[in-house]
Amino acid sequence: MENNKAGGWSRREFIGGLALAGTAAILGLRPEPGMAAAEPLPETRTLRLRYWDPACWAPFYLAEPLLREEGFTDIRYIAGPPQELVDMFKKGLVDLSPDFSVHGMYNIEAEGSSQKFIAGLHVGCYALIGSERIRSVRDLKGKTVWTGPVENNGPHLFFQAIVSYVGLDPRKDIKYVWVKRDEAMSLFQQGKIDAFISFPPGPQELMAKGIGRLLLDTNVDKPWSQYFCCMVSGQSDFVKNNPIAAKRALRAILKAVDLVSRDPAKAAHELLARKIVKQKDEKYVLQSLKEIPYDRWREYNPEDTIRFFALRMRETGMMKSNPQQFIERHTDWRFIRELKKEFGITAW
Amino acid sequence: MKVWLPKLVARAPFTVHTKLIGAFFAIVALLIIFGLVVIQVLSGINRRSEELSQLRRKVGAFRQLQHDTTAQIYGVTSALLSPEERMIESALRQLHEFRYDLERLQFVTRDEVELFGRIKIEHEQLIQMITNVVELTRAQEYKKANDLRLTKIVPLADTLERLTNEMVNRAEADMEAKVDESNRAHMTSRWVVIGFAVGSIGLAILLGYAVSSSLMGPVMLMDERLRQIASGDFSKHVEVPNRDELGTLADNLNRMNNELRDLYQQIEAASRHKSDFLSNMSHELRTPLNAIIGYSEMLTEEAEDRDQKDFIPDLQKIRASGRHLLELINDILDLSKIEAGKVELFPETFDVKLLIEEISGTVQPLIEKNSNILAINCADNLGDMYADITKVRQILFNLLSNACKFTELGTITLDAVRDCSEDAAWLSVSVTDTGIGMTEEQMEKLFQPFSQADIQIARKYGGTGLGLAITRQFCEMMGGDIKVRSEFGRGTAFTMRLPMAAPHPEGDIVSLIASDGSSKSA
Repeated sequence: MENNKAGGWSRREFIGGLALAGTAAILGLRPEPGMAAAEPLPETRTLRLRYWDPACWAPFYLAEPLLREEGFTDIRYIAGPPQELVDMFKKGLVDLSPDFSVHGMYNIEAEGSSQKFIAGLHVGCYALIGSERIRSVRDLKGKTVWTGPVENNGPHLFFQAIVSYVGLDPRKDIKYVWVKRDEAMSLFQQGKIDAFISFPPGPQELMAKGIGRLLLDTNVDKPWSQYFCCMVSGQSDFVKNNPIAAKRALRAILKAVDLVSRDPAKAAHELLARKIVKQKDEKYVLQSLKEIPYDRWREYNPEDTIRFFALRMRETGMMKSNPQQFIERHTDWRFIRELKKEFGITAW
Repeated sequence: MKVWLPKLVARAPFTVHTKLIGAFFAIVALLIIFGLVVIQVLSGINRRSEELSQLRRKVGAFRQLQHDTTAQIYGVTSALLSPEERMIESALRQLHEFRYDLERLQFVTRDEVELFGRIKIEHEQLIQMITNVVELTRAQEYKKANDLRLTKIVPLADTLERLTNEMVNRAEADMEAKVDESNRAHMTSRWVVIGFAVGSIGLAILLGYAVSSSLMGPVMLMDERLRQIASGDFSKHVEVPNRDELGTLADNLNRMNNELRDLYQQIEAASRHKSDFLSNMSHELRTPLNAIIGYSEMLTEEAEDRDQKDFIPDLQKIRASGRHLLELINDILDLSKIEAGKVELFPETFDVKLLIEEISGTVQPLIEKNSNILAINCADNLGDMYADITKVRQILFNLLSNACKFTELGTITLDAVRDCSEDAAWLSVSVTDTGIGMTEEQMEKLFQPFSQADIQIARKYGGTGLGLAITRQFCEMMGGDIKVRSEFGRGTAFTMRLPMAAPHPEGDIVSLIASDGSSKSA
């Protein structure tokens, strides 16, 4: 599971991380010493964070120096492909992970994933691109759409929520093509796929080339822009048994979120340096990081995101639990509430 | 449970009446409880339905709020972009109307108060900002107005919209939860109703079984015991666990059994004494009677020899009376011996046909006396019979003499056949006459000792009334039976049926049927 990055960063990467932490301090994001000092040390000094390729999860990758400031000495980044995430949570191989909200909810509901949502990470990031023939989401009825290489992945689940919101049946009204992203892009350019949904940098790249029409940008289009696209999940036992560690880790991650929000260029550069994104994608990654409104965690209520998507998933039959049950069982907002109070944020 | 429950009910120290009333009330109580449960379930369904309906109204109201929010933001934006006084006035009016509506919004629950409060605050701020922008616009400070719009109004509008969306989401989530709760409650109610129905039926059946068994069990035991008592078995007592009227009845039955047993023993002893007495008396009577008959015959012969014929009729009357008396005494002696169990069977092998011929010869004078005709039909395969020949002879003689007595100028038919049934061979002899016949009433007391069809018949035809009683006793002693059918004024038919092979004195059955079907001697 762990790749060569998981064991630890290179010296260059580490110095880069420290540099970023320094930036954070300059930006005034260093935690108040009194506050951190008053808080007990984390129950564990080891923290295992999942990483994977979405560029929008940049704060997670850049949080390492901030996590060290929170008292974690052994920080491991563990590669976690979406299809293995449920097992990773069940086996307790990972402590915290960024996750697509709908995908995480599906994993919990359908696969019994042992995780709890603890905070929102950011809004937006998904984009639905249609061919020139498609003018709105409703036009997708009977059309061919690419939503990822396998069924029930994050984009596919998110797409189902989008089409069901406009009254289409995502299982009957849409034809899906299950191919890899590069092949999907090629098919789209050939006109064999009518639309596709993807996270950065795919859509940005196509749009930059003038291919396709932007049907939905979850960064700005309502109601999607009013809910978190990606959230922070904690392994259930980790959250339960290590509340101080969980809170400290979340504090570091939220600071990293602010860091990315204030200096996306530096964040993009760091992602490139750590080889999480490719050189050719740097421009689009930077664009994505600039467009994604990372500061929404201060304002938005993550519980309402879960509630909203739970309602949409109930509509499509993807969820049996009702929103209240799901929120009661699979969320834990005490850390984000305490941190908001700590940061002097009054909203929610 | 199958056994102990009825016993438990039986042992309960209550009367049968109380038990039955108790069972009835228990079943009624079950029905009432079942009815209450159903009413409760229906009330629950109704309550949940009302709650769902209210939640639907709430979702509708919140959606309207959401819609109004979007509409007013759009209206304000449009008005500020094209600042006509009429448009601005309209947007401001909408804003104030919205505030008025917000104050009167219903369905806000306790946990939504905080969120609702935030909406009101955000809206107040929005109104304030819009008022400021309007004033700037009216003062033709468009740049400032536009900056304020972009930096303050747009974020406030977004927040307001998001918060109203959250209100709608909460209401919809509440409704989903209520739908789930309703579904779960429906499932639970269904199982509760089914459970109660099955439980009530089961309990009613169990109760019915327990009560009926506790009542019917003793009744059946007592019925069986009464049958045994009727057949003369006084050796047992009936044991029932009941502590109610049936228990008392069983005690009384046992007491009656004891009393009857004592009485029966006394009667048996008295009967034995009577039989002994009759036997002795008969013997004592026969001795002088034989002397009377003997002497009357001698005197008759002597009177004939001396030619003193005047005495002969009187002497003959003395002899006839003596013989009649002797016959009567013999019958009484036979009957008393039978009742005293002193009659023994002496079976031997004899030819049935020869016996019938012999008897027909014997009864010939009786046949002729009333000018009757005797017809005898014997089957060819009658063969030999192993039985007490004396008794068989007496049975046939009694039947034929009876037929002769009650028939005048008629025909008396004797049919003898051998039939094989129930793995044994039987001799069946029917004596049919064309005499006076009998009514149903007369036939009922036909085989009772000292009884004849009626008193007139006894006077007219004479006889002791013991013949048929003795005949039936002999038949039954030899393992057979006798039946009669008669039609008043048309005649009577007696059918006697005896086994061809009587039980051997050692207890074996002597088969008189060879494997080829021919008869053989025992």
